[in-house]
Amino acid sequence: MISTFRRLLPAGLLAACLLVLNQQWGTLPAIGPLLDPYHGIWSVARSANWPASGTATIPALSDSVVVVYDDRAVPHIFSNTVADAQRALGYVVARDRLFQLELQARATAGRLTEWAGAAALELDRSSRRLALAATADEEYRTLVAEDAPVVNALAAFAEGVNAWIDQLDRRDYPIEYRLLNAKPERWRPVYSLYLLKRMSLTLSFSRHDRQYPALASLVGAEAARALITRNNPIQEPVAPNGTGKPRYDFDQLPPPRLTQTARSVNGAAPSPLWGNESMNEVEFPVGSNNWAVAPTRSANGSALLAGDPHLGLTLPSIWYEAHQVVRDTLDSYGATLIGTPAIVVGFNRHVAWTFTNNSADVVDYYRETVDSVLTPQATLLDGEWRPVQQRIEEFRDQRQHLIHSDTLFRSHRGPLIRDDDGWLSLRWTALEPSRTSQAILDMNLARDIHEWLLATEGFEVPSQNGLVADRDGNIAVRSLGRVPVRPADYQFIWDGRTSASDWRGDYAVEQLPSSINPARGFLASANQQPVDPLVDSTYWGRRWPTPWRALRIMANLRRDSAVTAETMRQWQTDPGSARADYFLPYLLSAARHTTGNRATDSAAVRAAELLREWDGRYTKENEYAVLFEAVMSEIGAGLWDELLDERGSRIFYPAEATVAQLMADPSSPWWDDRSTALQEERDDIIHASLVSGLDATRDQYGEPSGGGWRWDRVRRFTIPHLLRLPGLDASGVANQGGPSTLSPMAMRGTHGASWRMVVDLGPPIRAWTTYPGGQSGNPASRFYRNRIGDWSAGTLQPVAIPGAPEDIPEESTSARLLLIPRLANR
Amino acid sequence: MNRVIRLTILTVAFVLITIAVGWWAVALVGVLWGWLAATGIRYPRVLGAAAAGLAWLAILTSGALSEEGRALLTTVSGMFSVPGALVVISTVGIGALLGFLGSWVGSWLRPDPAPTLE
Repeated sequence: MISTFRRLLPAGLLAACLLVLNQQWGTLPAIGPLLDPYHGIWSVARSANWPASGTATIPALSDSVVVVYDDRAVPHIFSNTVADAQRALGYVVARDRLFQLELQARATAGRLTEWAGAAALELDRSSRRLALAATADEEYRTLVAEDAPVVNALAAFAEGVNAWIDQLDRRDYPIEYRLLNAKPERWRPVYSLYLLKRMSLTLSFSRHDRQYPALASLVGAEAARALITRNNPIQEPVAPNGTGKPRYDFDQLPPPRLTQTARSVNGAAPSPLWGNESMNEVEFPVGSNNWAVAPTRSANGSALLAGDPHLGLTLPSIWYEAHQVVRDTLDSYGATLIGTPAIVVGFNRHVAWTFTNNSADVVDYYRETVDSVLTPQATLLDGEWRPVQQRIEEFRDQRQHLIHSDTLFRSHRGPLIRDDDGWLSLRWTALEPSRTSQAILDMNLARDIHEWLLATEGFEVPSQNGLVADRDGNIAVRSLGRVPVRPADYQFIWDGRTSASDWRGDYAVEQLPSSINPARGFLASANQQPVDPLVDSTYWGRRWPTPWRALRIMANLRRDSAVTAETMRQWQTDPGSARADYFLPYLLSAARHTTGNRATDSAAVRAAELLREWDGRYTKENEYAVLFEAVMSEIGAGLWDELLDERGSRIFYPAEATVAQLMADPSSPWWDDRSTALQEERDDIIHASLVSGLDATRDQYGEPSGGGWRWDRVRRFTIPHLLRLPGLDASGVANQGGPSTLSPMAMRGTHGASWRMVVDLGPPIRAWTTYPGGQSGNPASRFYRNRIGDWSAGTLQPVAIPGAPEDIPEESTSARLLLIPRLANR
Repeated sequence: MNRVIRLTILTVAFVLITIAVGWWAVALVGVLWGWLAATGIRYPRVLGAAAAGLAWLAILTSGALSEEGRALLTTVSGMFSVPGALVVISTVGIGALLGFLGSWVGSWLRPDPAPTLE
């Protein structure tokens, strides 16, 4: 017996050891394959950088393609046809960013559970509720039926991606696949459209309408409408209004009517119903900017253009820098969104272009009357029942086991969901087929601003401010994207029972806010209201971001009549703040206010003394912005006590322009602190905020003389990896800028300038770019994080714009790749 | 045969099987080694463990000496929030464990195993 046991013991131990090492524990990968020194995670280092020269096959190519990677790891693609350039782009993007490609497609399709199991279920459920992937599928079918040229481009890009996947050995899989114990899935052409839909979710989705009922129940309908401002009280619009200066329309804000009991509704809190938070929901962290000057305003007499779209920051970045060259046809350089077969922000030999988000109102909600509260089969419209579509969505884990299913409903308007008050349907331009993908291709071929504007007429979602300059010295800006014509100015929740609530079509392109070659010689946009309502009272949207950045950009542009590319680069991280310039005098003035309490009065004076030392600039070394931000935060808390629900949670964050508006109305009832018997005014609240802000700053960062208040110590960011994995992120990143400067950054580093570009249209054309991250998605590569230092310092790198492979000197080349239809002698 | 030569040959065998087949095949070579060594070679399990550990260390070192290897080590240690050395030790330790257990099984597979002296 003992002998048998002794014989079996080692075999049992070995078997157990193999089993344990090969076992996946929840979402943790199996240790054995992971730590395999040759095939496992360690092999990632071997494929970190590309060999100096190589040859690979893309079977669908019509001819050979030369790819030269410069010393910044930017691939310059030289091909004889546009389709081959798109195939090559698919190949090189997959080579550097394969996991990111698939992650984006899966996230849009709601298929992350197949990688991460139940941990990703809620993300997937919200994605499927929005039906973005289903809309993209429908859009793709429409494009195929119309035989749209973009279908061939999407197919060519997919052929390139799949050529890379097909020749991948398991040990060449990106590190994330090893951690997830997954293998790459082949790329379908429609996935490129998924990406554009996902961008629409980020940039053009909004829940403001659903916030209104909760807000109105707290402060009354009139005040609620005023807080969700139709027109921003500070006007510095995208389309010049001819005044040459900003305008402050500070009417009196209607007082809060606090007669009703506060209540919580889903629309007030971050909604679990419609997906992730969109960039439209928050004011500070976002900050896309662009501007262009005509030759009359530039030092060298050529048109200049600068752009820095702000998005969620991740490693690897959402952008990939590339150059496509097809003789006499295409010569386009810039940043491509991962998964797009063309340059999205960039330039060719004739024009340069960039975008900021437009925030137009393209989302509406309809309160529907349904036949069954639990499982609606029909909605009522004009007295007749209209059928509701039902769809079962199944969520599976990595082994394809069913882990959850949802029944989703769709009215004739769009997704239908249940909230506390019944059923709401959503209509949103992004949930309807669009021609945006074709427009992106076409704008790469434009030869002047007019061709570019024509090409972008098909740019339907997301709404953007498209800025373009050409080498003839023309500059133009236009709101791009479908904007629906509504039956009335706007409502928050429309009556779904009548078709009179429905959209009447879209505004014609020529009606959209725009400006071409304005007399002032410059154009700029920074997400602000696109047109002055005194010039054009059309309803384009509401709750426009306060134009602090626009104020700053316009001031810079008005001041400088000999702009250079270098000046533009410096402006992209301009530490100056129109917001600080506006509020700081009010803070300093309120310190003179006395309360009779010697201790608090002297603390307020001390805070003001410290703030007086500050020049209002968010430089990395400044030591007072931290106090200013603390005081501003306290002012917000003191001012908006009316917006707390019964749980003490703030249900709405008014635009800072509204705070600015109230600064000019010191006795407004909004300043009153409802928790006291006294009737507070503006200076009471600011005075108290100076005291509490100083206390909070001291508590957190010590005494001001201790060095702990330096901005780059207080504000260090971590740019996260796509999977939020420590070790694959970039931590300790400092940034010159603060809330509402030209380079703001969210507190945790999740949002910021995702791409910076300056183009001098010459001739000769010259450009400088960077983005936070690097070209490679492989964390062992020297090109994974290599640009973060320059980005943090506000430095741009000059880009090579070769017309032929031999134009790039050998010493500036990091790798060469020859792509051929098939390997010879094979 | 000299013990160093034996160790070297065995290490090379572990390197080759790891590259050709994968991590789990180390146990197979261990079993074979244990079966062969059971006839009188001293310390077969220790030798098996040492050779497997050395083999994995050699593979690791060939990659880790590069800039990319060092970057990866930093990444992996950051990912698991452990020192880089611990990740290397864990990797080598798994190889050694598989070599040890394989050798042990191999030595007991002999119908009439000769007594070992460790």
